[in-house]
Amino acid sequence: MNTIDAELEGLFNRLVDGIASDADEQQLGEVLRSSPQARRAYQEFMSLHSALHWDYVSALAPEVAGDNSLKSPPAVSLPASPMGWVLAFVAGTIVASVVAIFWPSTNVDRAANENVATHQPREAANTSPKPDSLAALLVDQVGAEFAEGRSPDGVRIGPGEYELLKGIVHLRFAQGADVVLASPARLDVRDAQHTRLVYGNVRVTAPPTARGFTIATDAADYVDLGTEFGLRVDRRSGASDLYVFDGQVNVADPRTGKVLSEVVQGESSRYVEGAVGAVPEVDADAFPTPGAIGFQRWQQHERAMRADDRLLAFYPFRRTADETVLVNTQNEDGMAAGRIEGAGWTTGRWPGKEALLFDRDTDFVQLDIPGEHQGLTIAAWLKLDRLDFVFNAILNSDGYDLGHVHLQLTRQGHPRGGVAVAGQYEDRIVGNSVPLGQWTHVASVLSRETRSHRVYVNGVLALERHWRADQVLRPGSCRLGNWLAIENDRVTNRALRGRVDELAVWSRVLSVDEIKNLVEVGRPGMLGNAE
Amino acid sequence: MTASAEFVTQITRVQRQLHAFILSMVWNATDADDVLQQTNLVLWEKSAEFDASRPFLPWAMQFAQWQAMAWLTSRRRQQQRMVIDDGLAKLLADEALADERAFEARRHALASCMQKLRPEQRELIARRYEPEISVTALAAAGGVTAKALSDRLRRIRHALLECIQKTIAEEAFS
Repeated sequence: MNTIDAELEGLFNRLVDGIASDADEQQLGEVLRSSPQARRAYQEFMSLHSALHWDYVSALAPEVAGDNSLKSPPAVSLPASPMGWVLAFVAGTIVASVVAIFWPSTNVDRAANENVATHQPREAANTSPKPDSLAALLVDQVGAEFAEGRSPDGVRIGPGEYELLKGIVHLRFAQGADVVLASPARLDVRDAQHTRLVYGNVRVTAPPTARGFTIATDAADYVDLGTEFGLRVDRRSGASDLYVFDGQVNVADPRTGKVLSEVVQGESSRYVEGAVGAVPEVDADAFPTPGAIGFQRWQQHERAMRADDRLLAFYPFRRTADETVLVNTQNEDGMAAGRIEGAGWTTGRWPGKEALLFDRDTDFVQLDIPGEHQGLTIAAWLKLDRLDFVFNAILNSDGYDLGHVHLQLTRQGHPRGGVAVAGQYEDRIVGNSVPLGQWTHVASVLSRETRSHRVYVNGVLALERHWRADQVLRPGSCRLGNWLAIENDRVTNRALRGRVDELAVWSRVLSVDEIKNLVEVGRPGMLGNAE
Repeated sequence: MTASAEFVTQITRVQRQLHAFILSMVWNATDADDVLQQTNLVLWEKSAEFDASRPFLPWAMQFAQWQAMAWLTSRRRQQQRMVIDDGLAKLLADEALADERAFEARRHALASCMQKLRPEQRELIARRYEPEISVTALAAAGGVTAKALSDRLRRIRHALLECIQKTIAEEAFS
């Protein structure tokens, strides 16, 4: 500002204080157009004006929640329907963006010095919570049950107390911190950057935007400096154990805010009643990752799904002692396991989950889907590396006789296939292609009755095919990730390049809602699905 | 689903910058709140069109620019519309984007600079920045002229700007 004269600064001030004259405004236009320095000063001034409006004011505004912070009637558990969950999530995210400007992001990101988060007015009773304030969103969960009166309002996490009795929840705070809370645990949320762990285990992952994210405990305060760490508060002893997986966490005295220690990657610490203690070895399972939530949800779903007596085959893609066998868990009806040729075991949608990698022209899994069917649904999770050929097979019958089924992708990633029929058929591409490098759910639904084939990509209709001739469905011997070509076919090589994790075949037509549910329960976590 | 979560993160991250930019066009903080809300809604509607491989802020900023221009037009602020025309709006947006890192640094510096104000200065700032407050109304309540009050605010803002400048200069050498 040194280079900008006081007159200009006076003009900026009159402008934002609403007392500028027409002449002032005219002068502003002229000076902004002609002088880069004036524009710079103007932007710095406006940034200050904006920051004062956002930060300082909201820092003075009510921020601490009391027991009455949850306005809504207690919801003891989360929506039972996973689809309700999806809708709630989407609704929640929209609300989040709209109320974003009212977030009381207090304390203006304290730096990593001695003056870290003072542990003040935890019980400041002079304020009532803002009804619209939102500190975090509940973005994922498995088996979550909250205590009555200490539960979220849908997916919205405002200031207040939350007690998780069962399950695991993943909270994403407004400034980007991800917190995975494992039951039993109790969390008192103050705002987007300040939370108190009363007891239980949390795993925190904080990006640079959430620098200064602080978890308070009775024994100490933990200030995140861009890290991943696990924190446990023992319910009985009140001891706080910190395990820093990456980056640095500052441990501060809860009363004075003075930094007691700086704990870096690979280190751990224990504080109990203001003193340092011996910290136990880390138990990695005690601090679930966001990905672990998805894996557990899928495992729970798997049990329910297998109860469907129209489920012909289910290949969960779990490696066994014989690495060439793709186990079919529904093998009572004589539908055998798949035989793995070439494709290699690799990691799947979540840590600890496996998949098969199809990478060479000769890689495939030989399967058999016996019988004649009126309806069929074939669903798989895949993650493509490339689309090398005109057609890239997901699951094709060997050859192309009447009644055989094909499910493949074009070079552009659009689904292609259906059932081999006599006469004409008509394709209509209506939706998205399958992207490269992302776990994607593809479901193929064939119906003899309606003479139609529909392919859904992540639960959204992508391809529709109709034909005229009546044709029963006879998949028979099939290859996953490849095709046993018929002689003289001009598109011989249809090898898939990428991973497959889960394949299911039903002898019926699944509804769109059922397919969307498969996507919901089988999707990778909100984090940790990238490579 | 992953896209939504990513979008939430992105849209959250850029709120302050969008607000500061909108403020440079509409001047009044409460009006800027309104325009920012409209911008957020448009961003959500357009979320499917966003190419995640490209930077988020420039993409979001153009919608902020259009929303602010639309607001100026709808308010029939003819004078202001002439001051901030499309060309100047674009210039301000481009320069704000180029200055993204400095924006964060200044925001952090402000926190410590606030602490250096005298208590009565902090209190005046707090009252001035209460939601929906106008300087004219605040001045009337305090029995002073709006100009006199604005003048006091000017001195405080000047102190803050100087402090921020100094803090950043010091950090550059530390």
